[in-house]
Amino acid sequence: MELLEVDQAEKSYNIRKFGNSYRLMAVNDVSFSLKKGSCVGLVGESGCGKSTLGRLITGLEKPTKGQVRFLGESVYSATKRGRKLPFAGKIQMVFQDSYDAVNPRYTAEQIVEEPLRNLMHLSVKERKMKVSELLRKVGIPDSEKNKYAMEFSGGQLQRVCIARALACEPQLLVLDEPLSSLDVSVQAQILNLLGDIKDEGNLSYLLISHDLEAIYYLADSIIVMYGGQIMEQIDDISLFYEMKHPYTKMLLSSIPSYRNQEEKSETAESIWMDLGVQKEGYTGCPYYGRCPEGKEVCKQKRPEIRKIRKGQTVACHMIDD
Amino acid sequence: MNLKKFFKKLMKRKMTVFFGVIILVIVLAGILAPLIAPHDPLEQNLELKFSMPSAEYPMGTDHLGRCIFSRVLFATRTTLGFSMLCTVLAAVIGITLGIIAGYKGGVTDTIIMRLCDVLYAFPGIVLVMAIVGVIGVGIFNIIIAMLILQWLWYARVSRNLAASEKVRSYVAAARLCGASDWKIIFRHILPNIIPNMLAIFTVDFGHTIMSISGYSFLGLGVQAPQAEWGAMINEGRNYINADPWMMFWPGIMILLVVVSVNIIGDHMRDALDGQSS
Repeated sequence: MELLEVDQAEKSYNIRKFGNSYRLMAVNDVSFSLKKGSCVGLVGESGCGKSTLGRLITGLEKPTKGQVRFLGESVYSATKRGRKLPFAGKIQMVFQDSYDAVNPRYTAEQIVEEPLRNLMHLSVKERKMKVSELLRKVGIPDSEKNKYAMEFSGGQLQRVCIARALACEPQLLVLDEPLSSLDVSVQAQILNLLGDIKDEGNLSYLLISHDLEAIYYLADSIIVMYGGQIMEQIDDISLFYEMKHPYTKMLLSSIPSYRNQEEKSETAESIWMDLGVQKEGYTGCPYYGRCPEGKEVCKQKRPEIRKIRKGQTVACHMIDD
Repeated sequence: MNLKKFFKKLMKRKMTVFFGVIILVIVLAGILAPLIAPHDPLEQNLELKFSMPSAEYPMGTDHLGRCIFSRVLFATRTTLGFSMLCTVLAAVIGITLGIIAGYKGGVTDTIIMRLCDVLYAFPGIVLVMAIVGVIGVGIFNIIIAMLILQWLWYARVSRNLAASEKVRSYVAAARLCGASDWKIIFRHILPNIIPNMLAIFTVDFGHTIMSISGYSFLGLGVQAPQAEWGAMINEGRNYINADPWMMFWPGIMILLVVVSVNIIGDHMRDALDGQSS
């Protein structure tokens, strides 16, 4: 059985403006699955629905349509009283802004202790030991465990957050842009830490990021999202440079070091995504407006996601099998 | 903000400490009234009525020859006690409803907040008069009548604060850590909005003292012969030309307490504003 199955998940929001209300399809018909022990990288620009997808997977949000299943069971069960999440502790999340992700009144110890207190029946002594062990694992010395959240640096606090996420031996860790609020040197440290933790246990990652280099470093497979939909998907990182979709190519060429900047011209593109493509009722390809290869058919019809070779699927009219 | 840090910051200003000490002294005097008071506050001695302050009667006596000093001391218990009761009840009701509205959102939020809007439209004094007119005069009836409007402030502010805390990712993190809604409210949201609530509480306490005294002055609240500052001012009203002491002492007490409480409340608000910038 797959660890995680996302089955035609859809999340839409009502956007109300004066005289101009519509439904925004934040996540539109997304399906994929995640194997135990693997790391899926989810790439896309701001507003493409990748964070919403992360929240759907953790069960924090309820999909409008479709389902998210963890070990065969739906992650969102609205019937439970007090809305205690059914997979609390087993599915964990690391957030983008670590200062926002911890209660400012808590010390590092209390932060890491919280899931243990809620989910595990441990004596106080066992709990304290477990907290120290977790903090040591992420590189926070014991002497700092009584510091308040605001007294840590961003990188350190992100480590504390990772320790909290690891507390209940989770099986799936959703990393929602865990690096983007950190400076570059710290990013590398956190990335290494995540890599080490992954090698240790049978933990699976869903790494949400717009940093392709981080994804390349950590992920085994990649999903590229645009406008709430999956544009391209590869099952093996070795196909990284073989990705075909025009949007993916644009993303790749935006890495400064990639291929000696041969396709420099496109990288400067700074057009914001037109939110119109995410309105309910839009039928064309969401990338049409920015796509250099866009044709009439792209405007009319949404491209089906299809397999172009083993381990690679693309949603584009312009790519031949 | 951290409550400890909040108080530390508060204590940096000498004015706050000064007025805090005043409040503390008055409250202590009220608590220890039976030990400090030289006379029984209800003991009449008609031969000594309207006497000037003396060693025996530090604030003089009133029209029935009762010791004003003892009465002022015992009135501290009545006035501050009932005001505290009223404010605490209002805060508890308001914060509870406010957090529920802010945290639950949706229909619950709409219902509670529209109820607030409707109640806001009532003029306070008129509503209290009407309610007391129906259920009768007396301090507990006054408190019930005041509560109907008083929780609104707490509800509004705590609702907004709870709503803004709720969307922060630490609440999402807490849910992923297996916390139920109640745990999130009690462990995360409530402690984070307490300093703000404390600031409102302090200012509101000042207003409540004024109201309780005011209604007692009008004869709607605490009834004679029980001592209460507002009621004492009312009793002295007839003798303002002959013996202004009777009004002066309870008046100065109300002034002192309300000014101190308001200044402390203002400083609390300043301390909170400072942390957000």
